[in-house]
This record gives sequence, structure tokens and C-alpha cells, in this order.
Amino acid sequence: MNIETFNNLLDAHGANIQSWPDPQSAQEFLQHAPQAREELARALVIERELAAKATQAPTALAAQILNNLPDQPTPSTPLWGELLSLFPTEQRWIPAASALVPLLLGFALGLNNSGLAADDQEDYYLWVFSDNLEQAALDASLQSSLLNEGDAP
Amino acid sequence: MSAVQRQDKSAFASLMARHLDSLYGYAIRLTQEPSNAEDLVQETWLRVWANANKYRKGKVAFSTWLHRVLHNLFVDQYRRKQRSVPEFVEAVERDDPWNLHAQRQTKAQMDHLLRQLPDNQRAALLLFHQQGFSTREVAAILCLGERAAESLLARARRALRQSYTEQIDDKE
Repeated sequence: MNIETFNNLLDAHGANIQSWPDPQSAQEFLQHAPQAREELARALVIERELAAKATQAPTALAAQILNNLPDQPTPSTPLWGELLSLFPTEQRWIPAASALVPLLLGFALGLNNSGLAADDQEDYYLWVFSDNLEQAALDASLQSSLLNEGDAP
Repeated sequence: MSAVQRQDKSAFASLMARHLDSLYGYAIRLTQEPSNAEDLVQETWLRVWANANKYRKGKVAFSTWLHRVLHNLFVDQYRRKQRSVPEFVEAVERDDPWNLHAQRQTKAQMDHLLRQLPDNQRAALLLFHQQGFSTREVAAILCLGERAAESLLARARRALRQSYTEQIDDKE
């Protein structure tokens, strides 16, 4: 390390040598470089002075600000805005929700399917796979009447 | 802050009580003039009240957002004013009386040196060293990239140390 590198690190990271990338070599350099010690001492004075927070706001300032606050009506937020505000603001929930939607849909369909009585299943498949619902209903009633005729003595 | 977003004045008062001294301390060293600092701080809080709904919790810390509002106002209203700088007067000082004179001198020296820095360098130094923000937060407040903020801080530290050294050399 030389004085130029030391000063560059002092500018980049400040006077707290422990926050430098290689504090040990900086400490070693300091022991042999009086100029570096001077620079560090000045930086410490500056940083201590900058960090001093002896200032208090004037006592009347807070009251003055509060007195000057305008009485605003609460801004009306549209319903969709209210609903959106219920979700987390971070965007990570969107992929998770997208993945969950087909899963829940499939689960709901499966649940409905298992709840069907055996007799209803044929109608159900007709309903699901038929392009024409009216035709499907007609086919179903025709099939049912043929079966009833067959059962008759 | 969510209560302030619902226009709750008492919540606003407690929020302001928590941050007012710190914000004023920053403003007074940034503007180098107490009356300017008061105007700037007052306008900042009025903006916070009026735009509370624009603050998104979790995106940035409230103090970062607050300082950003103040900084934007400073850039808009004060940078181009070129006012004459009156004698700097500390509003209240809570120091050991024995060291008060010496500390006042050092502080006055430092304020004089700070005044000579460009506005953005002064703001970066104060935000980092006085207000305790990280480089990332300084970047967010000053609307800079993180690398640009690091570079600005390094230039500011060097400039201030050089002028401080010159001042010491002149005295000797």
C-alpha cells in the first residue's frame, strides 16, 4: 500500500478503517506512514463534526406546520384500488398466484366429478364433451326412454 | 404512516415529532440558513401530508422518502436562489459548556467548508455522515445509481479533507 491508495480508500470508505476491504494492511501501513496518520486524523475530525446532531428544530415549528395543514377530504379510492391494496405490494405473489389458479381449478373440477352419482356421469360427460347442449339433452332423454322401454315387461 | 395516509392529524403530529429535529438538522446544514431551513422543513411536511398516499410501505424506509421529498424541494426552490448567506446561528446547542467555545469554532469552520462544496456533494456527505443513511439510501434520496452515489461521496470526502487541510496549513 502507498499513500495514494490509502487516500483513495479513505475517500471511498470513510475514516472507519474496519469497513475497508483490507483493514489489516491499512493498519500496518498506518504504523509506518505519518502522512497517512495525519490524513486519517483529519478525516476523523471531519466525520465527527458532520455526525454531531446538536441542532433542535425551533419549538414553534411543529405547531406552525400543524396549523398550516390543509383540511383535505379523504381521497376516494376506486373499489378495484381498495381490493388491490389488500395484496402485498411486492410483485412476488403474482407468479405464485398464477401457478395456483389452474391448480385450484383442477381441484374444483375433480371434486365436482367425484361427487357425481354413477347415473349422472353419462349426462355429465355429454354435457362436458358435447358441442351442442340441446342436442346432448335430446340424446340423453332418447337414450333414457329406450332403456325404460327395454326394462318394460 | 398508514394512519397519516387516512389523514389522521394526531398520527401526523407524532410522526413529525419523531423526525423533526433530525430533518431540521439536515436542512440547516444543507441550506446554511435557519430561515431557509425552516421554510424547507415546513414545506416538506406539508408535502408529506398532501402526498401521504404516494408512499409505499416496504419499498423504501419512511425516513428515506422524507429526505427525498426535502431534497427535491431543495433542488427546486433553493439551489438557484443565490441568497447571501447570513451568520449561521445554532438554534439550540446541548454541549458541555467548558468545550462550547472550541466546539463552536470547529463547527463554524466545518460549516464554512461545507458551504463551499457543491450542493450535491454537501447533501451526500450530510446524508451519509450526519443522518446515517447507507450509500444505497443516499442514492435513492438523491435519485442516483448506487455507483454514482459512492463516487459522489468519495469526491465530497476528498474535497472537504483537502479544504480542511488547506485551512489548517493557512493557520500554521
